[in-house]
Amino acid sequence: MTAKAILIVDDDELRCELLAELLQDEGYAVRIANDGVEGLDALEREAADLVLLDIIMPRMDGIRFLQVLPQRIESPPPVIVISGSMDSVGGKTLEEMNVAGTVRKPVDPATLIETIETALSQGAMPGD
Amino acid sequence: MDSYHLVPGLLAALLAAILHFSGFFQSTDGSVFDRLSVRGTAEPPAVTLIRLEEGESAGALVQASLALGAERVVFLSDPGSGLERLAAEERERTVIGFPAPRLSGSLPSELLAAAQRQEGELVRAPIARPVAEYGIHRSQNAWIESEDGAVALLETVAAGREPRAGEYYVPMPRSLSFAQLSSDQLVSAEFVEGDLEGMTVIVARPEELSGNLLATPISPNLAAVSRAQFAAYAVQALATGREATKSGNLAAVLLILFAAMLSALAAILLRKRHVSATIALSLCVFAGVAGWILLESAGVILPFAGIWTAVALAWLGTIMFLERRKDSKLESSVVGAIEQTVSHTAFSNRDNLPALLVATAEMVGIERMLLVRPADPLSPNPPATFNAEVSDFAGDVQGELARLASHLAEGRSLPVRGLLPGWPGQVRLRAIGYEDKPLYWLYTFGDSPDAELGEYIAASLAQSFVTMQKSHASLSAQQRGRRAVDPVDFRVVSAIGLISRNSRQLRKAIDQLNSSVMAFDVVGFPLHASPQMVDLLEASGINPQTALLSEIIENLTELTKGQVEALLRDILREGGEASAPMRQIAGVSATLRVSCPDPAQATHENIVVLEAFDTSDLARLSDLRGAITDFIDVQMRNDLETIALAAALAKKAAGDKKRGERMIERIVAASQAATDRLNTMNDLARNQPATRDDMPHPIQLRPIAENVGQRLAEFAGRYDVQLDFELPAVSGYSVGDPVVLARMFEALLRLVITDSPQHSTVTFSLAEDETRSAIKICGGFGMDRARLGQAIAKPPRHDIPEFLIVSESARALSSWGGEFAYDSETGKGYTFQLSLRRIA
Repeated sequence: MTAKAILIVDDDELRCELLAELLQDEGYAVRIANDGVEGLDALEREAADLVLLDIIMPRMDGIRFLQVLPQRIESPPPVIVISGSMDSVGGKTLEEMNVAGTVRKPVDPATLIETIETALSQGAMPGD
Repeated sequence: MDSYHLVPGLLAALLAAILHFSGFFQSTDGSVFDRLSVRGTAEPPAVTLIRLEEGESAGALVQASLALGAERVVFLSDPGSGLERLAAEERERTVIGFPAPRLSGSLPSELLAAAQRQEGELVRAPIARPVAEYGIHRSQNAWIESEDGAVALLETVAAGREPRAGEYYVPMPRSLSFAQLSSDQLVSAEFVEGDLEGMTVIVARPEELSGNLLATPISPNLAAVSRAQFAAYAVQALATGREATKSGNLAAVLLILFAAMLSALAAILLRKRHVSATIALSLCVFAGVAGWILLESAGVILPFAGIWTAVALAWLGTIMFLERRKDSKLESSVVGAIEQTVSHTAFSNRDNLPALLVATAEMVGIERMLLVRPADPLSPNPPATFNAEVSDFAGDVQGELARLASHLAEGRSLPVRGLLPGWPGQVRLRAIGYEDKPLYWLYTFGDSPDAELGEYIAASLAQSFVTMQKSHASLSAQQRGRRAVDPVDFRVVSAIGLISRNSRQLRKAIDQLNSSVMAFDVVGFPLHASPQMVDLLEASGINPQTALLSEIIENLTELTKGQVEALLRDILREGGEASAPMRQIAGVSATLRVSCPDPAQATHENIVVLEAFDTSDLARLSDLRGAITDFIDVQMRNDLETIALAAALAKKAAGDKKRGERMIERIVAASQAATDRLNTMNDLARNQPATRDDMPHPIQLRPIAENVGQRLAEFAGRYDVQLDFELPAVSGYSVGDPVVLARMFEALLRLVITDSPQHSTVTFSLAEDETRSAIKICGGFGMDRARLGQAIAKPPRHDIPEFLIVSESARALSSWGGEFAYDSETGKGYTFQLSLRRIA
């Protein structure tokens, strides 16, 4: 059975590395992009089953990424947002922006794995 | 009008009446009578003068005269024989004068007996000299007192009519002349019957016609009228009813009083002095004209001089009284104002001034000083000293001081050499006395390098000292219970000078406050506004000169009109203060405070003070706190997450030593990253002066740009320009000050918008990479780059404030490690680029 592919989009390289190791331990195939632009490029190059997305990033932030994702990727993967204190942008909640789930920082590894599993079991990005 | 304003008029009337009855005005009134009477139109002569020739028969003369139609024949003196043969009827019409010894006292009995009129007998009447007033004979008595009552004098008997009063005035018109004939002419029948019809014939000896001449109104400077001629005038006046009498005492008093009251009322009611003076003068002219008419028609002589004097004195007295009252009021106001102004200062006691000068001199760095009055020898106890004594002087002190003083210009100082050899530095002399009280101030700043600067302060101190002394000298006389030497006008000028000086200084003091303050009269009219308040009001579109208190509060705050009225009502009734947050004006957050003293304490001297506290600093501090909290929240969550992840992985790596060590390294790295971020924050917070307005801190640029966009939407709409903002959905953290950046963004956008063609677009874009945040503003018509550079480098301060804001903000930006660049070309538009450090 092929491992599920997860793309981590986060500008913090150290956190990306640790997240990747955590997910790899769980059997996922993990790729890393350090901002929204890189993330979209990575998805265009190779599809992923799920995206773990940070919000505050240079060049293209997480919100913009969510807005552009359906325009750039034909069948966008579900997105789990890893957010700090943010729960709305421009009057819209993250749920309203079609995310598969949110994980509040600091991430509890068990909760993250559970959320990922749930999102993957639910399939592609809702609304598509 | 207060009734006692009429007191000067009453006094003037009283004085004029007293002078009138004391005869003081007799000469003046007589002169007036003379001028009026000599011009009068004469009736035809009713008297003929006959010169009684030597040897002529008096009886024949009487018979001839009566035969020619004469009414009466009057002999000024007894002709002796010749009258015995006259018939009884002729005798009754013949009057013979006999001299009355004097007018005062009673007629002696023998003369009285002679004057007793008996039927069929000659009429004998006493003849008296006319009454002289200051040498002028213009009046005559009608009768003389006797033991049996009044006996008519010759003229009265001759005229056959008595005047209205005991003394009557005789008009002597120049145009009236009496025929003078000799007895020969009359007796020799040169005349026909009827030539003397109805006339009184006065017969006089030649010496009575030429001797004993009198000065009369006709010839006031020359004794030219004979007694016979005067009698003729008198008889003419009585016979024709044209004699004049003085007005009665009561009438005179009433006339004088009436005239005085009219004059006083004119002075009281007509504020303009020249108008009331004209009225008074008109009253005098009117009295003259009325008097003339009355004299001509009724033969009454008005008390002209009394009336004129009463009018003049009443006007003058009333004016002086009113002036004095005004002066008194002014004076009391002045004293009150002075006391209010200076009661809390050394002014109330001039003796304190030297002590104050010493205290202030010490404060400003004067090392030694002496205040001396020139005297020989100098007083060992001069008015003021500081670190000095009179014994410090050397040489010819008086001579040297006098020599220096002669070269001293007002307000200037002179260096003094040799006079105070023991004093350090340069000793200088100033004259700080006034008028005849010279006072010399000798001082030195010692060897202080600031001595030259101190000269300005010394000049200011000296000027203030002199001013205070002058004001005190002029104003304090009354305070000391003495009658002031200066007229009130001068004291008013001094008081105004002092008060306005104090007022000016207070205004300056208010203006120096780094606060927006405005004082209002309790009615709500503005009294004074500090420059900051003026700027604030003008920025809000309010005219600080005319705006009312309620309008200002309503305009500056979110309070409704009703709320403002309620607030002011409470403040004015109860005193105290109230505050309300102000609308944000020009990016400034402020609180408006209205305060008013307790009316019970301040009585009618209440004022209302409006103060705008700039709470931008508090808001900025709050923003800073919020930004740092957000930043720490976000970043620390990241770092803690990293550590938590590494710890979880390390736990899972039990037995895998290599992995465990790697995780520990990651934990250390995450901890180090967190520490670095904290250090960055520490640097931002501590490496800048706490008072700096533009202290940078972590900020998110998107909300700042959004706010600016909202503020400028209407402005852009007015120019028909579209604003296009390209912003990230979420900003990271950049280093800067939100207020400065907001002002800069707004200024740049305004510049571009105002120079944009209609229907064009101005773009504002924000792009953030890992280390920098870039802002780019594009659009507009553009101008020559060099001109733009010049405008930013040397901004025109008043014309376009945006350039000044951009220039100042660019400097702040640079101090945060940011960059500002611009490009522009006419017709191609502007490009402004800002770059800020970004916190990763």
